Amino acid sequence: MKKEWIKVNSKKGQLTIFVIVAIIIVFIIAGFLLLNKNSDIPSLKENPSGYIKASVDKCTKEAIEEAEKVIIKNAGFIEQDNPWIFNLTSYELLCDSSGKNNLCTNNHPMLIVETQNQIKEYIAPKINACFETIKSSLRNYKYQSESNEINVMIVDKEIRTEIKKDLVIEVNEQKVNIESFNVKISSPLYKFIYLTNRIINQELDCNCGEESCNADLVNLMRYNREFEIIKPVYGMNGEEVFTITEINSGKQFVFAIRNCAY
Amino acid sequence: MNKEKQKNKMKKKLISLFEITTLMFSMFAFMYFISFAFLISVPLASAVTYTPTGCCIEGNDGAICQDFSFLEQDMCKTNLLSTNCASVENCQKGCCYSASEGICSLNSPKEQCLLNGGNWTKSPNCEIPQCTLGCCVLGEEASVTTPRECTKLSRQLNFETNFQPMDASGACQAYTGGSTKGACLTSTNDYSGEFNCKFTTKATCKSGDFRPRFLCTAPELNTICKPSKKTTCIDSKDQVYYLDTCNNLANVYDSTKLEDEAYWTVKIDPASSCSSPGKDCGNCDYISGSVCEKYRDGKDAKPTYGDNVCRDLNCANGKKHGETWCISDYTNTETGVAPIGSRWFKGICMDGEITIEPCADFNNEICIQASSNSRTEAQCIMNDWRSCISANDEETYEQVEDECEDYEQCIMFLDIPGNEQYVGLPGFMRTNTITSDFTDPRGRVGTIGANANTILPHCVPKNTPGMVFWETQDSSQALQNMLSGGNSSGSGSSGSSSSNAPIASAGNQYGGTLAETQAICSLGSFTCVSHKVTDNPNGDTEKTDRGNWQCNLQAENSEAQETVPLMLEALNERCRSLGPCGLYVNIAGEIGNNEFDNSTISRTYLDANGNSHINYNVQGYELGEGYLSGLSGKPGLVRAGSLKDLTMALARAIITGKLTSEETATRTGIAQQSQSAISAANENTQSNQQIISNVGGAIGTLGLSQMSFGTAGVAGAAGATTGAVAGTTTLTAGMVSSTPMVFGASSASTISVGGTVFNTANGAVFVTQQGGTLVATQAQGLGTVTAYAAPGDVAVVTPAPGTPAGGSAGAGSLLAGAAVGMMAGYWIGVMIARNSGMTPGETTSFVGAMMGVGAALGTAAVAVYSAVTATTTTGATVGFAGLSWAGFSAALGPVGWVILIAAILYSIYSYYFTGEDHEYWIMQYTCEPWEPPTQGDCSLCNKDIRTCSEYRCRSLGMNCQYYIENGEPGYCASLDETWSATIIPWPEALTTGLSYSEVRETGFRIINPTNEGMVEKQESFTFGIITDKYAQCKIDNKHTSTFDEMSVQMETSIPAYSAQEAQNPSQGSYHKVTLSPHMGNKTSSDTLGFVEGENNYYIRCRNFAGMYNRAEFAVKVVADKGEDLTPPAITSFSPVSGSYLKVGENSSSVVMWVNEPSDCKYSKENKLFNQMNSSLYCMTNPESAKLGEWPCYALLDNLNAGDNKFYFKCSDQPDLDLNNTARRPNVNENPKEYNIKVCKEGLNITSITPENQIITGQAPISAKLEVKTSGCIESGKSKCSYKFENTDYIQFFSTNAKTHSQTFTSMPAGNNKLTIKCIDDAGNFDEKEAWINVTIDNLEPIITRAYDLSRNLVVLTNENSVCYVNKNVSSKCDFNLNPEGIISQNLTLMEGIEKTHRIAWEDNSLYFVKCRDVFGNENPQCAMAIKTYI
Repeated sequence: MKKEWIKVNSKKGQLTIFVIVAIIIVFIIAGFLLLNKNSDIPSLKENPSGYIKASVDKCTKEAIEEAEKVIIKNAGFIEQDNPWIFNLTSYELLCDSSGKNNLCTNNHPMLIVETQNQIKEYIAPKINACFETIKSSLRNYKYQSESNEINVMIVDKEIRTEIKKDLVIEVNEQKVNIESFNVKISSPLYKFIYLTNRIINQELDCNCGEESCNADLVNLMRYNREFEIIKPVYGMNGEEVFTITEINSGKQFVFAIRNCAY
Repeated sequence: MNKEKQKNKMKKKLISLFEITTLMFSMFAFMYFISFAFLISVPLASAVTYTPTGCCIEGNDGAICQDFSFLEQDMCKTNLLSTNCASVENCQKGCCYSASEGICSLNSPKEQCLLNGGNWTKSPNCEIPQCTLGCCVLGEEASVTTPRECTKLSRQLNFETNFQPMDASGACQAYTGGSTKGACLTSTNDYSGEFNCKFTTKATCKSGDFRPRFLCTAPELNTICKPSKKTTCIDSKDQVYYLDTCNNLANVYDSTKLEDEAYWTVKIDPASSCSSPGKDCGNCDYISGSVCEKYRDGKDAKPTYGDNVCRDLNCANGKKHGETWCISDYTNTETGVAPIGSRWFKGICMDGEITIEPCADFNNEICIQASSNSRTEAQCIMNDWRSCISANDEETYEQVEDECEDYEQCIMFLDIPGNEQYVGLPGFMRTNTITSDFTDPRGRVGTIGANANTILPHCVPKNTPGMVFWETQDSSQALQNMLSGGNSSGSGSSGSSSSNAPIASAGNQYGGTLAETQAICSLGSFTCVSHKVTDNPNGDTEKTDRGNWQCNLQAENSEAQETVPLMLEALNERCRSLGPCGLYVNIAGEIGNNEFDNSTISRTYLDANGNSHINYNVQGYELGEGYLSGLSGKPGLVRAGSLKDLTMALARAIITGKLTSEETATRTGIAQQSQSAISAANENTQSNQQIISNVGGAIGTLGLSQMSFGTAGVAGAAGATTGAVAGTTTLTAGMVSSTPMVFGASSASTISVGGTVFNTANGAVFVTQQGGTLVATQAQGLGTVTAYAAPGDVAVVTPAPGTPAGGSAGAGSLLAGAAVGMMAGYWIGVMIARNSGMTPGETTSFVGAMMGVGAALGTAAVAVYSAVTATTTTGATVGFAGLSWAGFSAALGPVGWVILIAAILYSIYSYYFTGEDHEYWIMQYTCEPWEPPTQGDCSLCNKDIRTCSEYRCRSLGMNCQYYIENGEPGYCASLDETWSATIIPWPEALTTGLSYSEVRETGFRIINPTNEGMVEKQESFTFGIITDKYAQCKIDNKHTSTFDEMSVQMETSIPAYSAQEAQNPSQGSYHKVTLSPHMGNKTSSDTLGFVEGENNYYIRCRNFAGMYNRAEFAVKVVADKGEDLTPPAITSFSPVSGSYLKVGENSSSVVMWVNEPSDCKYSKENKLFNQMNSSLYCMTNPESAKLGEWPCYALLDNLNAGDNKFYFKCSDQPDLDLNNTARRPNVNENPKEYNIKVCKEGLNITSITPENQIITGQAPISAKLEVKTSGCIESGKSKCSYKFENTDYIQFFSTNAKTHSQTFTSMPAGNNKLTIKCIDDAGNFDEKEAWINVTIDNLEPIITRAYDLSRNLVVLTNENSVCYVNKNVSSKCDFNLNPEGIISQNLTLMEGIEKTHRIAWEDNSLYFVKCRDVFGNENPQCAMAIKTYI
């Protein structure tokens, strides 16, 4: 009799435990979902346009920031084009005389354009992936989009990106039409390239063997007080490495030239 | 053998193998060297060998268009072209220009340029216009760019493109800052050919002809603007600038260049302008210590032209901008005694002006200052004088000294420099060990003075407190105040003398009451008792003078002649060091009214008879002339009234920089300590008052003692009980010594005392005197029977019936006779002594002699009696006729002879060798509150930069009273100066164009001489009056009876920059008022109106003492007719424009003031008045006017974070219609701009230092609390306060900035929780908590172990310490660890500054070790004495 009573009781207990565990699991999942919900991105149902723009903005910014990080390290390139290795470190030679006692040839006279293209190439697949993600999140809605066109502009203190993409979605009988997305991040890249150009031009404004070919870094810093420019490395064949540092952010743009080799 | 051979073979094989191997390596090595030499020679050979080069379009490493030799062909990604790159079209080097970016790249390959969209030109150095570098002017900055870059940058940064060629130095310096300004010319359109001109930036010169860097006064510009003498100051610039006649800014003011055309042509950099800022040069520089400011008459050097000067930010007394320093009434050394009425002040030099801030009155605060980098900083800190007074509560001198040393602001009196000369004088010992000897330094002789001067107050304040020395309030209130330690807002001073009403004042302004001052002063009172004893007065064989305290000039002690004057000086010094006590000078240098009269020095003489002679001779008890003149001519005294002007360099003379000690901590329980000090003082006072009676009583006792029977007398009386002589003995109460008389129990007798009869047969009867009452006791059964006899009663001793006397004198009879004779002798002696006025000493010897004589006679009488009786009974001759010498001698017997001779000898002895006389001289010095001079110059208190107060005022003289009828600080004056003020017109106050006329004692008229005497109806005007005394004046347009009934207060001022200005601006001699036509004939609380026709005004002035002119002073004005044609003027806003609102607020109410009743509107854009939608609520009735202005109210809402600009406009005559063309109101279309800022961020306490820290050290522990804030107003400017648990918030000593600091000089031990609260002007608020855990280490280090380690003596201490060793066996542990001690005692420092210390081991040596921890605790004795053995 006693044993029977125990059996009944334990079944009830098991049931109770299962219920409690189920409730806990539900709460954990709900909490997880809530925590994962990105509060920066508006709700799709309430503000579909805002949702898409914020999503694109977020992933584009991330992509540009990634690109910027790599590019300022490689003097304007995702992958170095003309590397010079010194002390196990590889530097991009933007101006090269191939070890001859000549003025160096400016390998990248349109560096800013090339850099813009580099960024564009780097971010394009990421932005496309971003749109794919958005598209999948809109699978329950009507979604229509044309292929996108990406423009990257490097301007003073900013990198601006314009994504032209005709995008139409219908959410809750509401038709949303987006033609373009404009995303920008703060970046010293323009000034890095500007200063690089000035440095190379000044290094080239001389006669090899007759005079010392050195850019006037002090004067450049005088008019660009937010930057520090140093030449920390000198190679055997006239190589010079320049480091331009934005003082506030600590970001460093590093490049090398090989000029008037001796 | 075979084995041997095989071994040798093997050896040879190995050697051969080694040789072959070596040979082979040598060959390779040789070949290597040969080959190296060959390789080296290759380039040498090739240098002369021609190798063709070709152009490599792209190298393996990415290089482009590089010429390589064909030997390097492998380095090229493509085949080398058979020509150099210069001949390859795509590798042509030239200038690559980006048309979109404006970037030019030199030496760029053509293909690479074109490939990326660039424009390529065959100009290697980019000598093309597009690549010309110039200056891109971007606002106040400029950058070196190409034209296209400039366009892009300007567009991006919202500037108009301004691309300028580089300046002469090849840079853009000329385009930065304000140099881009120039003359903006616009036509005058009057066909004169002249131009209007505005000196501005090109950006703002949109429709004009801009001439960069030209001034509008340049002759070649032909403008209407000409040079002028006017000058101005501009924000953000330090210099004084000229203005031209069009009010355009010109160059820096230079009086020598006024006529210099060139100086008025182009903008000149200030660095190239005049270099000596002053009245002729306006090239001020803040860093150098000057800045442009409005000229102030009397304070600044008047500029040659204009009314702006380079004001020297540093002050006339040499102090720098921002410096603070201490100012006192005297040059204070560390232990100076402050003159009565003195006070500490803090001088502040800001913007070239000296201002004075008083520290708390009554010297409750003192000023300390510190210097660093030639700058001084001062602060007022609490004067902890109460702790010094309380220290004297201790029992012994040493304890007082220890306690005194705990307080930095206290010092032992004898340790004050210069006071060493007083050591050893009566009352000025450095010890007070209790002894019974008369040389006891505490003023005690036996029991006399035992309760007086128990502890002399030796611990005195370094900074003398000020206290009330005049009659104020009742003592109960005073006691209440004292209980509260003066921290309650009790009556600090009597306030106005005329009203005698208490004034609520801050706790630290408390000056106590006269009763308290008397109590404090009495601590300096002193009693000195001299005692003279004369032995054997009749014999006059010896005299002693014992216990002389050297304070008795009349005593036969020559030393007293020298010590008494010095002692009096010392007593006064100690007295005045306690506060306003004793004889001293006031702040005017005048000595007080205290004199050494009977109230200060009194003497009492108690002669040998115990008679008191009060008011005894005090001749010679005076302070020396030298001492007095030293007091009155106190060096360093900066007399009251001597500092009259704020800008006088006199302030230099009053800088005191000697106090550098930090504030001792605020001590709790000061009130209680103080109270106990007062109680002790009161007891002391009472004791002093009682001492005379005590001494008198004591002398009486001594006198009685001498006059009692003494042992001999008692023995005589006792002997009588054993004899058989019939009769009675009578003992009178009051004449029995304290020694009990015992009446024997063997012989039956009865003793009757106070009606009780004791039978001696029942046991011994003890008869004593207790306080003059005879007390007889006898043990009876288990109890004791006691009887008392009142003074005057007698105890009668009656012998029991005895055996009848025998025929011959027995020994007993002879003794009885001697006893009776002695008694008789005693009584006769006493009678004679009394009647002849003998002293107690003389009486003692004389009575003794008489007793001897009596005993002899008694003995002889018994012998005679026995001889006569024997003769009778034996039948001999009856009667005395039968008495013979033989019979007498036989009757006397040997015993009788002995008694007879002894009695005679005793008599002689007593007369010549017994008795002593005591005399006492009691000198009493009473330290009393200081008394001011009878007559003083009261005005000195007012004529000084040092603020007057009642304490200061009263110190100047008994005639000086402090009047506060017109508010604090009041006015110090003598009673005869308080008559009501007379009134005369004030010409300078009258509006230009008007004048006073018909000036009489009762009034005057105001007229406009050019308008038939009538003033303009529509123009407000001002007039004023001058009073001959400091007063407040009121005006009304109707008759009234009293001053208080009058409605409008006149604006009061003082003569420009006088000392009084700094004291009380609410009263003065100059009074003015503005009359507004917009008031009609009505008045408000502070504004009067006037109307067309005659207007009458009535004035009364109440002077500082409350007296005012009963008869009104009349002013008459006649106004003409006139129409209002002027628009209203907005005068001010509250809150002022530029104020902040706290973060998150989006609305703000604002009050705007207009100079006449108006309708006003506002908008966020500058629109026409009619188009403005938002209206203000404006008060327009006359009664609403405040000082001639009317308020308007508005609620500004929808405010955004950051700036919120509004434009306000007004229209007058609200009752008129704007559209009424016949009579239209005047509208001010020139808007008043108002900006209210909303904080974008709140206030944050960003750091607290120290925060949650543990601080360990020796008490007192000091800590500096520093808090940093960040926020919206000036990056965090705010005011911060702190509080400990259970206390209120206290503002940081240094605050109202981003960094706030407070120094605690004595942090209590334990976990101190601090709450810090900061608030900025916008109301943003932050609060944080911090903990400071304070551990106090007052324990000296302990040596826990000592041992030998490698011939080193090692000792371990329980805490980090330094240890010294003394090996001098004679001094052992008696050595000091102070620097002098270490050197003079040749101590050796043990190696190690932590817990392990070592020194070289020496066998059989003694090491006396003392240690000191990091907090300065050191062993008073040896930490350890160590002996080393082998």
